[in-house]
Amino acid sequence: MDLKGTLIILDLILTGIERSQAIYAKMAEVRDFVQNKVNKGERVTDEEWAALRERLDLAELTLERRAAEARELLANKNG
Amino acid sequence: MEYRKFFLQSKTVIGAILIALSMVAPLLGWEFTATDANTFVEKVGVFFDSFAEVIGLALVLWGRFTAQGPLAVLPTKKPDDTLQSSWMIGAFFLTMVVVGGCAQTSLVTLNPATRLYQVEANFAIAKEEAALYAARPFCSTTVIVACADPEIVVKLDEASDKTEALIEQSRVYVQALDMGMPNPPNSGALGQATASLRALIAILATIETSKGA
Repeated sequence: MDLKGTLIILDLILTGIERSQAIYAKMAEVRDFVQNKVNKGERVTDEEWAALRERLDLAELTLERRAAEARELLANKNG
Repeated sequence: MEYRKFFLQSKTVIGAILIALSMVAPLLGWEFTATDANTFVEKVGVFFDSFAEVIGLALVLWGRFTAQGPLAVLPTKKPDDTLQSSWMIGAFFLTMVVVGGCAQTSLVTLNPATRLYQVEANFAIAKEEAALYAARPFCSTTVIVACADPEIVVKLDEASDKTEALIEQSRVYVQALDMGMPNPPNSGALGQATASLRALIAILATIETSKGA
């Protein structure tokens, strides 16, 4: 494998690491949040559940719409 | 007899096994208990969670670029190398122990309702990342950077839908528990949802490796 190939692989790996770490850092915040709740003997409140559902719904809207567009694009491309 | 590389010497195979292992670990019940989750593990848990999948990803990519010839199911002796097989097998099983042990440090001492919240909150993070990617313009001959590959957008949507379905089953399970039902159905749904979420994250981790930055 030549230098260019090595650099490409290195770049791919580092980008993958960066993205994974960003996601896991956010998840660590979630873990700390729920662990804190457990330590205090509290439950997740209705407001916290509602805020979470709102985030999920918003992301779902974008993903669902773009996936439909992507499927249409792929269908047109394939015939 | 023609020499063929023993399958555990394949970096691609090892990488794929590690990724699969990190996904199925929760289903096998490899979870840390409260006693195990000491301060040190808590601090490095996130690193190892990330590390396990990244190592798997790195090995897959490495293997992809350096693959040589077909594989054999059973080891065959390479004329000029007698130690390589045992070294690779030893490293493989050592890595399995590390990955297996650290697979689920984040889900400790939580009751099902709180654990469900954690899975859903993690799902929201992954879904937001997926939506951010999907919102990019689609890649084309003129748009080649900061773009979204339509095929990956579809894969993300499918993985998201699968996780959502398993989370829905988990909700039913947790609600039944809350109502005092002794052995409600879908008791494994939470673990399966976690595994499915990991599959979604694995796709997210490779996004930038396919198209633009």
